[in-house]
Amino acid sequence: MKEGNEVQVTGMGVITPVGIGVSRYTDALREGTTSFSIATFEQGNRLFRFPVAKGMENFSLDELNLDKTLIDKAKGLRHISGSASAGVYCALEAWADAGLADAGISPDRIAIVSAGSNTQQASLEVVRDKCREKLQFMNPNYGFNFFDTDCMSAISAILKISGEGHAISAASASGNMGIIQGCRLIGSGEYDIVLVVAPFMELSIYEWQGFTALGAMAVINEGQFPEQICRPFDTGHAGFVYGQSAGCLILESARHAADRQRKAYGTIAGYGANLDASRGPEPAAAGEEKAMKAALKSAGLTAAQIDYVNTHGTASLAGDKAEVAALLAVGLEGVSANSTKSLIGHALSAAGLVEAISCLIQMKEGFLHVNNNLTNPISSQINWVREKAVSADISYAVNNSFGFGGINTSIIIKR
Amino acid sequence: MKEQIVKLIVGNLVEIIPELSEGSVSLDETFVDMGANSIDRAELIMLTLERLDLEVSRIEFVSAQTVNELADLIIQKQQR
Repeated sequence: MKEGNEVQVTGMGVITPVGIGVSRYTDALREGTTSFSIATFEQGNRLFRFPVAKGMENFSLDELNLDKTLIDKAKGLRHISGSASAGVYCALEAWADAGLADAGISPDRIAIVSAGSNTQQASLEVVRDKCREKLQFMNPNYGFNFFDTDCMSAISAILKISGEGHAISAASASGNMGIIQGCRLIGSGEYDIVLVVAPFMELSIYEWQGFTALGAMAVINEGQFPEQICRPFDTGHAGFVYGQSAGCLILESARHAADRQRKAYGTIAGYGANLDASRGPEPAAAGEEKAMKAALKSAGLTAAQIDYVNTHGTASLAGDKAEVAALLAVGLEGVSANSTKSLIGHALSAAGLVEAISCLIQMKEGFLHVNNNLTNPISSQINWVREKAVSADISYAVNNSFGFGGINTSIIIKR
Repeated sequence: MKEQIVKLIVGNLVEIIPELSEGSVSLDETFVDMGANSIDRAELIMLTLERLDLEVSRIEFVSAQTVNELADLIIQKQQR
C-alpha cells in the first residue's frame, strides 16, 4: 500500500439488539447487556419458536447530529425495507461522526460498499404475501428496491455521493469482506473515502426454519431460558442465535484524514481472505488459519503482537472447535478473546462489520467485554474474557469472520 | 361517482408524494408538475386500480396526465 493510503476508520454508526448508536452500544458492551428472547411465528396452523437476541424497533433519526434537510430526506424514503432503513441510519450516524456533513469533499472521491446479499427477506415476504392472490396490483417500486443495492443507493441519494457503489456478499463474512473491499478501493488510490455499510440481514420465516433445519441455529430445549441458549466456546454450545444488527464504518485514507485533521478510531492494518474450495456450511481450521496468517503478513506483524481476537464465535460446535484450532495453529495460544455474538447474537451478513466496530470501541475505551454464558470453555489455551469485563490496553486486534461456502476472512485492526 | 374516484386518486397521490396535501392538489395540473416521477405515476395508477378492484392494464392509462383525466379514463373502463 502506498504511503498515505493506509486505511483509517474516521466514523462509525451502529444498531444492535443492546444499543442504538455508538455511545449506547459502548455502554452495553461494557456492562455485558443482553436481550435474549423467543421469536414466535405461525405458519400452516403451527407455531414455530426460535431463540433470538431481540432487536430494538425504533431508531430515531432525529437524534442524529445532522442537518434537518438530510434527516427529512431519510425520513421521506418510501417503500424501504427495515434492512435498508437500518443501513441508512448507521450511514448517517457515521457520516456525522466523521465530520463529513460540512467537509465539502468532492462526491466523486467517495464510494459506497454495502455488505451482504438477500438482506431484505422479511420485507420482501410481506410484499409477496400481499400480492399472492392479486399479482396484477404489484407495486412498481418492488421492481427496483428488491435489489440489495437499494440501501446503498438510498444513502447515495441522501448524501449526494457519486463515486462507485455496490453490494458485496460473502455470506456471514460479508461485513469483513465489505471492509476489505473498502481497503482495496482506498489502497489503490481510487477513492479518499469509502462508506462501508452493513444493513440488517432480515430473515423471513423460511430462513429461520432453513437455518434450523440445517442444524446451524440453536433450538429451544424444554425448560431452557432464552438467555442461556447462546453459548459460544462453552461446552454447552448448540448452534447460533440470530440477532439483528447493522453498522457503518467510514474508511478514509490516512493522508486525507490528516489533511482535514480528523482523529481516527484506528487503522485497518491488514487482511486475509480465502476459500476452502467447499460449497457447504462446514468450517475448516486450515482455511481460517490461512486467513489469519495472511492478515498478519499483510500487516507486517507476528502472532505475538496480537493483543486481542474478536472471534467469529457463533456457538456452532464445529465452528467454535475449528476456530480454536486455527487460533492455536497461528500461534495465538493465550491470546485474549471474546465473542461479541455471545451478547448480541449472530447478525449474519452484518456480523463482521458490527464486530469490527466492537473491536474499535473496546480498543478506544480500553476494555474487553464479557463472554456471556462461557462457563466451561472448550479450550483452556485461549485467555477468554469470562463473566466480567476486563480492562485492556490493545494495540492490535484480529477480527475473524467466516461464512458458509468455505469463506474465511480475517482483518487486523490497529489502534 | 366521479367525485368519489377523484377523492380516491387525490388521497393516493398525497400518500405517494407526502409533500402534497389534499388541499394543494390541483385536479388539472399534470402529475409531473406536481412533483411525480414516472414510478410515482405508475404507483398511483396501480394503487387506485387496486383500491377499486379494477383489473385493467396500466398501459391503458398512459395518456392520463392529470387527476381529472385519470378519473375520466377510469370511469370509462368501469363502464365497459
